[in-house]
Amino acid sequence: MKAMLVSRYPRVDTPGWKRQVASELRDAGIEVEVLYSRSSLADQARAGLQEEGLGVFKRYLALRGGSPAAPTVAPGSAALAAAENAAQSLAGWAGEHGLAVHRYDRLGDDDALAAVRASAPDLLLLTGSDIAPASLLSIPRVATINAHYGLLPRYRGMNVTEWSLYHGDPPGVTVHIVDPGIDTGDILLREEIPCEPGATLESLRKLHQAAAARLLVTAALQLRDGTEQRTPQRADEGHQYYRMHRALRARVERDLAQRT
Amino acid sequence: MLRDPARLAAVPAIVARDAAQIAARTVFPAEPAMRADRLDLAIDWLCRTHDATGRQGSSKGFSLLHGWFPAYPETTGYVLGTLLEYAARRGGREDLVQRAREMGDWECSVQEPDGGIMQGQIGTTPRRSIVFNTGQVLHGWVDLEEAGHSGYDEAAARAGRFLTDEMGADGTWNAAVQYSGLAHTYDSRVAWAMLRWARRSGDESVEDAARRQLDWVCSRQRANGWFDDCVFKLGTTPSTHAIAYTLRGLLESHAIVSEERWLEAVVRTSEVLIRKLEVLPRLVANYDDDWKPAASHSCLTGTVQLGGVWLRLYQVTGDARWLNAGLKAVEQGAARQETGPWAATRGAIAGSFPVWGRYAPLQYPNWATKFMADSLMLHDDCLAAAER
Repeated sequence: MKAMLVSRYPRVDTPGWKRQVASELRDAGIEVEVLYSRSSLADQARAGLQEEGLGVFKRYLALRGGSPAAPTVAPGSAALAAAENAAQSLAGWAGEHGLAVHRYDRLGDDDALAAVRASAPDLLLLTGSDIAPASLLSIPRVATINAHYGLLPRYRGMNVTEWSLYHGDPPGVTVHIVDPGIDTGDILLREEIPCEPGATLESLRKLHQAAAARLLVTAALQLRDGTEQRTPQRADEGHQYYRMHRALRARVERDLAQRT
Repeated sequence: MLRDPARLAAVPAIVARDAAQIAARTVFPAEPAMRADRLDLAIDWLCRTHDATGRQGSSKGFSLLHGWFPAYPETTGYVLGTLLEYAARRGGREDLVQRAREMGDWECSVQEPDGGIMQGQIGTTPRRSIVFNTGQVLHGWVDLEEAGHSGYDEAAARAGRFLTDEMGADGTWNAAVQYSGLAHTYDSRVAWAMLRWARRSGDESVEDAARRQLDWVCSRQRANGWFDDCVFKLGTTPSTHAIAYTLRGLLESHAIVSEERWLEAVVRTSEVLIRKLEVLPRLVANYDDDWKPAASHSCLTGTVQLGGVWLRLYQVTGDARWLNAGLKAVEQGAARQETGPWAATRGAIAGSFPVWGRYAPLQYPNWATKFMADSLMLHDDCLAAAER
């Protein structure tokens, strides 16, 4: 079986959990390749600014180790090893391990689609990618799957951890088949994320990443073995959410801080 | 313009600023700058539209080329409601209540013999009564009466009778009393005024007519949320201004009589438009029947109006997705408020962004700032409610 991880923003990536997916799939005997969209720095900067605002620069500096706010760590320490590990992009890691890495501006570009067809993957795994066009989804033999940071079918779209908390519902991760809709494909696996006292959106994000890595690997193996269980979604079972307004996000953060 | 040094200096600066913002936004996203005094500035500017006419109605607006326009009966009708609402939030500010009453009295003085309100600004000839304008002034008279200021029921009754008598069995009005001679879905705002008046007066024939109009509006909606006949003139695409008018009329009418299909129509269109709000840098002024952008400029009036529709939708349904979209749309429009020292525009928003866009080019219509003020009040109400 051949799997292709689809991702974006190699320079501002949060790659640890993605490398975990790739590594565990390789360990399970699955051939792995990587497909990146928006590989030019200017495109990444523009897209990052539009989506995240100026915070994208802070994240870039932190990931590149250039942030004055980055914690200092002792040479040779485990913390330094962890920091170096976190900063290495999925593409860099894949290159070191001899995996094919494809870079294109947009996932729907003709040259990107041609490269994916030539590679003939059985499975695409969306790991923090741009929205995959239908022309890409039709290529893999088995399926395209995604780890969504919310519990489907109720919470579709963006910032659904925040929206779940806003409504008093548990956050979670859902791995689902990707169809041309937004988070509307068959559900494969779901897992609630514990929201303990002291949790922050940032700490929950790390828990989501760990769960996403674990569930994506499990789902990929189930699809390989034909043991997956698909649960279709009905359109009226949920809503599509969008980026949360800063005032509502502040309320979510305040409510989190007040949990005891 | 050449005789006015302040305008001579301000106009190039405004145009250059918008050009720079358009260029900058290709790289940098807009962070809406919400000033604490934004609402006060808007109300102050609306008062200047009143002063500009010698307190004989509210000026249609300010043109960067021509200066202040004459009074505009249609929009004076709903500007007065904004002043009353703001006054109520500021301890009943008597100066604003007085202005609202003067506007209401002035509307009575310009009401046509048939009970309708004329097309266009004061001075337009020949004068003829128009359905939409009559409905907007009816809102103002009902606002005054509901706020405890008597003397407007008789004019309202004549307007209500005009609107009811001129309507056909299919829920549309006689072409002779329609702007451009066309039926418009945005006349849902007229039906909303009729329902308000019907509930106040107990006149069931007015309510029946309003219901027929609203059902006709729903019949013009396609499965994708698009409205046919949502235009001011033939051969144009719907503007966010006309769409927002349509939606607000349906929504408020639902709020009065709990007709679910009117609410469903609002949600159907709004689901499409909040996605536009999210995926594009800003709402553009017009959309085609496949909801593809049909303009490059924004209609700021429509943007702040849609924000108001979604905030009201949040109040009616409790669905926080509408709160989220409403806050963003209102802030997107209000971020374009003029805050410079030039009194002619300070506190106002232009018809379009950039200011030379096709909707009211180089103008600051009084209704744009009126709807911004309304939506800013809703913005504050909804944020406060969400905090609880």
